[in-house]
Amino acid sequence: MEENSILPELSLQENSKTNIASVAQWAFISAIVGFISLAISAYNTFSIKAPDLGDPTLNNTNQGGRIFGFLVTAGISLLLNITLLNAATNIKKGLTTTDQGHFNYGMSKLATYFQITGILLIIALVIVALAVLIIFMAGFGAA
Amino acid sequence: MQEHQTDQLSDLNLQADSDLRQSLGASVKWSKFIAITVFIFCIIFIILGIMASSVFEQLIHKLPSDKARFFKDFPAGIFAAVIFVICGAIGFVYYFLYNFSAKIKTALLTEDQESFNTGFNSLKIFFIVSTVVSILFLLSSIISLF
Repeated sequence: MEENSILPELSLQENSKTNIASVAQWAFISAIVGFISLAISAYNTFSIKAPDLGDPTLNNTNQGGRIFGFLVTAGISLLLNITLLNAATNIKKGLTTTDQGHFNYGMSKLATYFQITGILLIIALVIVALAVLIIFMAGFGAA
Repeated sequence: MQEHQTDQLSDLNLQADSDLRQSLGASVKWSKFIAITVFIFCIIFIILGIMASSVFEQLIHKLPSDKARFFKDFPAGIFAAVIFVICGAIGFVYYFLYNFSAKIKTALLTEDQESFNTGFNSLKIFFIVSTVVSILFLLSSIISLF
């Protein structure tokens, strides 16, 4: 109870600062790794030829599908990694310069990162649920 | 004791003000949702893995003995074991994210500095493990290019 009155607002002790600095550092590395992965994925999509399916219309559809898939993935990946990079750099800047504004902005970006991930997870859940529903309906329809 | 604490904090000017609390609150809410969803998915995959391995075993018994010889050396249980290990590893990593959300929530409610530190330590471990795994996947995809 006394602890509460000592710390009416949570302050960042040296221990917390070290942990948060590590979080920022690893989030930064994670974002960079994400960008490199995206670059490799782009290389795979645009430089490696799709397997020849014989029919030229099928080949075009296959290539189009690959590019569409890549664009969707790239958009999501860019959104997530830019947000994470923003969070990491602002938290780092906030900690090194003891600037509350940068620190708060970085933390809000970290919250946004989790929010985007959560929303993507909800979308994925909806897609999986719809897929399962369609499979069940097709199964019942066949029976 | 009070003076000592105040002195210790005086040179660290960053505070968990209302903006930061709001951001941390949002992080707590979403990270908890992500962690729990991943746990549920892991459990579903483990159950599906066990079911699939028993179906796989029945299929092997139905195969002619010459064709089933290959699968006899590959026990069906290993399929469930692999899924169990992968899901266990994923669940273990996301436990740290769950711990982050739980500890920071406690810290925000009770002003407990220890929970605040432990929460960020868990987030640090989560980011370290997930980044190392991402690096390993990146390396394997780079190797596969050549």
